[in-house]
Amino acid sequence: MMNSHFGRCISALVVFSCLSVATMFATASQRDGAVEGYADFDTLRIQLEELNRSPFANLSVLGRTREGREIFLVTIGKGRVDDRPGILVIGGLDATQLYGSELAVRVARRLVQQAADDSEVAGLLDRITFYIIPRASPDACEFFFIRPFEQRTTNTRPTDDDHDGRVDEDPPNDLDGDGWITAMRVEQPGGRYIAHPDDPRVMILADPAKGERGRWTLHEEGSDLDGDGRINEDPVGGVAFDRNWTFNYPYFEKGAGPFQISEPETQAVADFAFGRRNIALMFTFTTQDNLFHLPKSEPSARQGRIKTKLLEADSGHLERIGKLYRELHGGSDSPSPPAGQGSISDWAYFHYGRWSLAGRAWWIPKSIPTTSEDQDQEASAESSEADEPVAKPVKPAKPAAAGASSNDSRGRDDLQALAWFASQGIDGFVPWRAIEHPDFPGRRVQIGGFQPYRRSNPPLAELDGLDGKHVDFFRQLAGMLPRLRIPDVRTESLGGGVWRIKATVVNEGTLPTFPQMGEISRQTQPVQIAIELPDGAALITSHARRQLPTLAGSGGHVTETFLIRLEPDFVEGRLRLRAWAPSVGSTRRVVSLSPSSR
Amino acid sequence: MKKYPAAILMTIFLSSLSLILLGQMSAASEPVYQPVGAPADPKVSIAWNRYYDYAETTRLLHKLVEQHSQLAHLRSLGRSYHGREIWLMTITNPDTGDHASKPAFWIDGGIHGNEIQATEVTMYTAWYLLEMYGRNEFITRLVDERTFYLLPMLSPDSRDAHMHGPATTHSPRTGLRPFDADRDGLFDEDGPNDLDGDGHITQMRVRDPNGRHIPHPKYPHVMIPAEPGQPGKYRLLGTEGYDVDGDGRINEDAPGGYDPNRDWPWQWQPQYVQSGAGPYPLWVGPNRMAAEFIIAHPNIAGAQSYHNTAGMILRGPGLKSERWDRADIAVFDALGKQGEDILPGYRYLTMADDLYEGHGVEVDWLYSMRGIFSFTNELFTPENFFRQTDGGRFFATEETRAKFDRLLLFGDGFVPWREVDHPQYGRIEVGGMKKNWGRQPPSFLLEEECHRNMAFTLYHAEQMPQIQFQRLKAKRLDGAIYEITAVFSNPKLIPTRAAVDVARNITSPDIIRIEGPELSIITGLWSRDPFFREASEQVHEPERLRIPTVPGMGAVYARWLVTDPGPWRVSMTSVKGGSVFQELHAPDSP
Repeated sequence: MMNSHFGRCISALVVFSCLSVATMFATASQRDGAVEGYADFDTLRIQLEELNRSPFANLSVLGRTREGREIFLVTIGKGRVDDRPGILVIGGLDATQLYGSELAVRVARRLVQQAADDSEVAGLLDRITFYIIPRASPDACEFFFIRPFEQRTTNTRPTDDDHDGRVDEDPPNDLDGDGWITAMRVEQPGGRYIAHPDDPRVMILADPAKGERGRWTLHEEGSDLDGDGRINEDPVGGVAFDRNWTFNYPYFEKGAGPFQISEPETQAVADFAFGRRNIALMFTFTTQDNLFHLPKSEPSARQGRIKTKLLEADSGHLERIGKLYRELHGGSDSPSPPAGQGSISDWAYFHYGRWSLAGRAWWIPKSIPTTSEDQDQEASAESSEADEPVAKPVKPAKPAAAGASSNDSRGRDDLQALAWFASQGIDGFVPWRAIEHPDFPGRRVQIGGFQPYRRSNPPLAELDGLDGKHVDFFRQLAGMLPRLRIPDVRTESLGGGVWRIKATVVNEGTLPTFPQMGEISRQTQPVQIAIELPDGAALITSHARRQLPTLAGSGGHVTETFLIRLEPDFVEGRLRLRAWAPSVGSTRRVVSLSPSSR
Repeated sequence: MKKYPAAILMTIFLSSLSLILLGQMSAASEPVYQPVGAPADPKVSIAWNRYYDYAETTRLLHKLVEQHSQLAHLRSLGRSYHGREIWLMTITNPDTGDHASKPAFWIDGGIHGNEIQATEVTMYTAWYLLEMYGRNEFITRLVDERTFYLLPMLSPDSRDAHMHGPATTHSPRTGLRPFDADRDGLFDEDGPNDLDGDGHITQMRVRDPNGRHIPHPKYPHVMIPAEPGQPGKYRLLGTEGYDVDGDGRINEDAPGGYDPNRDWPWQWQPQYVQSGAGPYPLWVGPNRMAAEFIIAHPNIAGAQSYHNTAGMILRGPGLKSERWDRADIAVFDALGKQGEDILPGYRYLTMADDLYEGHGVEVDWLYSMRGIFSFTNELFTPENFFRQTDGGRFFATEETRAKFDRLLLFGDGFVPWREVDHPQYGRIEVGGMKKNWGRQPPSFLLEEECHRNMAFTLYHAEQMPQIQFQRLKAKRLDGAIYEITAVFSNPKLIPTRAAVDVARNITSPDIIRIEGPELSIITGLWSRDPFFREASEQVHEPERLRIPTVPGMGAVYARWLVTDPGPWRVSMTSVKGGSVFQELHAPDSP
């Protein structure tokens, strides 16, 4: 026992030291990812097994991917965990958002640690269970570790993306052999791109209205392997985890899959979620941010059979939660979420009917001055393609906010990323270099551009502190969740052994018992109240178990009346009342009934 | 009882014995008198005037495969929630090509377990194709040239629950995966209860001068509303059952509680929009198995999903907001109109416009997401009762049913009202229509139902695309160049790829390929016009021309200019239209 424990500590130490060595020397023992130090799947497994040693954590498997990787679930709680309201945390939707997996593991680790050290958290776990799925789409995430690195979000389901009857036959190719699939620009008629006036590394769309004439076509690095005239049009796989959900599903679009919830990954998570009525709220580490950028709600959202907009009744609560998140996070310049379709975070609200919180958690800050304000050495060195005539710089008189120097937004994100790379000493951009390309004989072809994954996954040290902020957020969030109480039971004798019992159920939390969307979608289980009578008592009206309406937050309440009749020889007994819903919790109240003492 | 002399009895005995012997002798030596229709001497004898449960249907499937092992193949796609096999029978002649290489027709039955004759119609089709192969030229050709995939029981748990458990003619429509229909945390805890233990879930009534129902004057077991101003005699209390779980409601959470035909991915919406939907599409296990099979077999070009009731040949769309391509609608119309002739009393209708709107319906998915021309036949028409319409909608009027029951079923269709003790209502009566008719044909109408519906699906199957090689010619042009022209036609109603298939890129395009030992192509073109007045040049891979579709009753023309001397092999492969090839040598001189 002692030995194996010791052994595991040793192996954990070895892993840890390997990781730190890897950051310096990139030893062969640790597989390098697109960014150093991130956990590949085997490392994740070791980390989770380590976590599983805590008495507060339980590691289980929700399913397996097509390539046989486990979809892991870490349950953090005590005792009958599935009988308490749950908070579901999901990360690792794909390799472009692998940092979300890292954060989810760190959050789990910290919660488990606090459960042991901090009585407040220990108390919280008497009331709440955390379900953490750190890497929801492990096959897609593993591309972070496979050379050449290729920007992709999908798993490896074979697909005929170009609908030519052949499957996966034209993936990208690492033509310059540097281990990265970057971009490729070809100077040819019909090209719509030009180099950015402030930084020729950055490609922007030419604007004919400004007298600009396009020169380059832009492609992903590769060649036309199947001779159909198109480049990289049918890569290996697949289906994107965050495009395979039922709400606003992008039928027939690339990466969406053959139908909704078609993948082992999405099905495993959906089955888990639908099987856990106690889940009250879901948090996803995702670019589909709704905490910095509250989705629009409008009065008409309530109308129409199919709900597609955040309901007004829910938006105030979401705004309050967002405010809390923003305060704890401290960020201010979070980028707008992309227009995602078929995403898990939208599904969680509109179809699963739960509070769905989507946090980006990390992004490239906008506060770093870009080359457009400060044409530094590096930028001019990079433009060693000096023969490259660039569009005439349009410099505003006064450099205003970062990235806005050229008075238009084209290439702003790219400039921002380059500036951030420079400030961090990250070598994340491959300078454009000429190559001979068989598909473009006689044309000028250059390979270069951003290295995949590095703009969205920061060096690990950048994540330090974010796990703590998220744990603080979850702790405060747990305090907002609805809680039931029966503060008051009035018993009134009407004579002849007939009694009127009035029980009030109150929601002590600040959130309503369910989001309105949860009520509409009917995926949540309503609060019920049940009365248990002592021997010698019987209900006069109706039935002992009833469903209650949704109770508003901060004291929303409802009073239920039961009429009962006591047998003449009834002396004394107890009424037991219970109110409960899996995602809200349960409460009990026992009342003594003794007609003789009246 | 009268007494007959022993001699007479003996004579009767002997003569009947000789009759039996005679019958046997003629069977051995002389062919039986064959009616037109089904054979009188099939290898597998099946009575088509009765219904078969899961175990019996399973046995019949195995018997058919044993007796017709050359043509029929049986596999299970998996198991239902309660562990029953999801049988799939493949019928084709493998000597004329692998099943996956031929245009295929999909038939499923019994997605709604209570709609039981759907299974018999599917089974009859399998039986008929196998027994008539070699006897009938049309059937033989179909089995040689086409593939049939038949899934007779898509909801076998519910089929048996209907047949062996207490049920109405309407139940169970759901599958039997546990489902908390009333959202109280208990699953399937309060279904109907067979209060009188007769296997039929009927109606409850109680004598009550304040009730608003009275017995029908002519058919007193039928309850009808009292006229305004007329006193009532009975209060109706709903479907047989009581409040099992003490929540004040009756029969509110029966086993299951979802609709397997609102479970398909196209235009799927959750339960709050589309009642009957499960948590996500293809949540129902057997549906997912069938869907994955269909996706893996893009050669399926036509499909039929059998339901009941009443006398409809339905196509999509399921929603009024959907717009279908006119070319595809024309194909549906041609098939559907023919169906109305084959199936008297059946009407060809579209779901959204003529019936009701539905999200996540199977045949809508088959067409809109898989590009398969598909119908749902709603089996059994109330016109069958007296060969006329009576204005009653799906089930005929109560009078018509009662009259049919009296005159043709001799009262077998109703459970007479009888008194029972109800836990909540006290002494009440139960009675009403039995579970085994209303939606299902009586025994003597079943075989006709099977045959006519099969005839419609075989017509549909016959009209699936079929690529034919019409002509292949090489012409020598000046300068040692050959012009090779190939003409392919599709002499059927259905195009190789539906317009929706082409628009959504569902299946692969048809491919016309030229091969040769020294093949050297200058250019490759294709056209819809024999004179190539408007032709598409394919710059990349001209040896592998990608053709979007060959329309029904249409053709495609391919042409290459080549510099090699041949020989050439030219082929066309269509996922849904089959494949053909020819070889060609260079002509001697121009």
